[in-house]
Amino acid sequence: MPVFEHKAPIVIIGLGNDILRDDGVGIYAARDLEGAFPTDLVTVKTAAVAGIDLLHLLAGHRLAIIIDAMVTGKHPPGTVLRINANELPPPTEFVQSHNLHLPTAMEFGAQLGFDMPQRVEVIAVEVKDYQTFGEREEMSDAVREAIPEVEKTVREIVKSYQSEE
Amino acid sequence: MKKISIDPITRLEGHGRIDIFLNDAGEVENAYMVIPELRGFEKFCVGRPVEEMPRITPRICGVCPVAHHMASAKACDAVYNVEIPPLGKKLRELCYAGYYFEDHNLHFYALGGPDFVVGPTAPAAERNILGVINKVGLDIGKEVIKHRSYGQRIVEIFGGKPIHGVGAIPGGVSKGLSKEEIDELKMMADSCLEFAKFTIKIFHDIVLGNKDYVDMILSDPWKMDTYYMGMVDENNHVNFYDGDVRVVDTKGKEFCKFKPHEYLDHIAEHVEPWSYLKFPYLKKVGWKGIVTGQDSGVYRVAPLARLNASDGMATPLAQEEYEKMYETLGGKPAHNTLAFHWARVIEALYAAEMLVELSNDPDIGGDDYRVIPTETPTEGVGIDEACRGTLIHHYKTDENGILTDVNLIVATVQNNAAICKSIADAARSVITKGKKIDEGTLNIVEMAFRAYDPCYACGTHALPGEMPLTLNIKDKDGNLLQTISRK
Repeated sequence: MPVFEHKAPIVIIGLGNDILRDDGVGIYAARDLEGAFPTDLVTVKTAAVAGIDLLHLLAGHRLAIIIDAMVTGKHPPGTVLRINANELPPPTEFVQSHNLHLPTAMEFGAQLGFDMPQRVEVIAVEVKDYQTFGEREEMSDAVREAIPEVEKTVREIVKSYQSEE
Repeated sequence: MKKISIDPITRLEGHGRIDIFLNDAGEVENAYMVIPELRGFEKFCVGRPVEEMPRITPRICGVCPVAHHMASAKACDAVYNVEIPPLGKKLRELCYAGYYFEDHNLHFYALGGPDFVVGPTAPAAERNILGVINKVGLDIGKEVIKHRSYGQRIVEIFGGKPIHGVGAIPGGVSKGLSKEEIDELKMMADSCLEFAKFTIKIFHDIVLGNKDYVDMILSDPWKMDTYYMGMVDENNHVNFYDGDVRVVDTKGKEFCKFKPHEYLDHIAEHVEPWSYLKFPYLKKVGWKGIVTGQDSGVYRVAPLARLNASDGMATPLAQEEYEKMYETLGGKPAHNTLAFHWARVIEALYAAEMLVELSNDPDIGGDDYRVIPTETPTEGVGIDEACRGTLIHHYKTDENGILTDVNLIVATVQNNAAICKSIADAARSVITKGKKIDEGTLNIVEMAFRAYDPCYACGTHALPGEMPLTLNIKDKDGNLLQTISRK
């Protein structure tokens, strides 16, 4: 399957919708990182998908860095959290197959015999307005100002991967 | 009056809620699909150059991006009054068949199919793609994922990227195919056709081979006589990408057939104060409320509606299966709501046959795929069949091609009245006074809308991607009586 064969060990996936204001934060941050790393080390992708549709974007890479918006209501907008997806507790049951829980999607992929990443890091940005149509310049100030921190975190993760290899 | 809310609904693309209203006797009075509608998209577009629309509209949602991309490109062709070259049309159709193949397969294996393959009253924990794969085997799971990625790869070859592609432009398409790409397309098309045949076999073995399921499909609560709409070619065969829009009545007789730019003569939209969603209806029949039958302007779109509105399929294997379906269901039109699932796998087979035909077309590698528009832009309508039904894009521009007015009638909205009615019918069949409302009961109700594969996606998604389901039963004053929750 040609789509699952990748040269770069690391994939950066920016998720979201770039015309729904803050929901585009993952996409914008990923786009800013295009060309920031050697192509034989890092592939940058953007997508508006979740769960099972992430499977073939992840397969074939060793480390995946996912950048996405989050809505917890527990953090001020613009807060950047780094979550090791491998440490997310597995769900006790699956309620929604389309939005398959990320670790479940990973396990599912592995069960099917795909070469899934050994490590998945999620960089999540707390957002404020993700339901109004608008572009990058119309993002909430706090979310737009969080992008450099996201990029810094990505660079740290890439660097630590290189030093471990 | 009691109110039952299912919020949010599992396995619905996007977010939504079902409200079921009980009368004082504890019986189902009515049921409605309540959707937080997209806000202001049309306004967001006004003032932009029209040629941006095929790139912007796919971002309305991550589920039907290709359908919006093509309807938008077709509307742009009309705005510039340009006829695209035959090769441009073939390339667009090739991409479109790839999109149909992967989208319909996703629905069968992950969204709608689990109800049948695993069972309608199976625990929610098993009623999903993992449950399906447990039942049909891990190897099949691999094939499902592989062919979904093939569908996306076909769209990617055409559009430059798997999601939100940019292949179609006013006057044709932006690039042709290399020899390597054609070889890859041929390989994927052959594989997709084999997989489509396999899926039809699964449908026959597991769904049609189970008498309980067949009885359910044929039973009265799951039947609804409405008008049906779908796009057809010059032979009245189903066509996803281009043609006239044909409507048949509840008896299957042609009611009207119109060109895209005539849509406003045939479709009007009713507004209810309690819903963000409009209710499109047939203008020449009229709005009689959320009721069905020959005197009601309520019509249906999407797979079964397309097959009902046509005289057949343009490819041999799909035609064979089309005939089998109507033989089993007792003739045309079929009013059985659950047969949308059957029509969907037939359409996936047709899409796969189209992929084989188009990727082997001797002209597919040519370079005459675009004409440059030269006329002053004015106004145009583009219509295609999204997987979820007829999709209409209507643009007006000034003489510089800057948008002054945008009207979109999206597929699922046209099934709005029918979905509400189907939910109410299903709810009535399982919710009666004194009977315990459990999860299996709720799933039967959800099956009513899943048949339509509704999509109200707004593109938002939250990690880790879980969507709990909560059912609230309330009395007429809004006091909470009972909560059932899926964690």
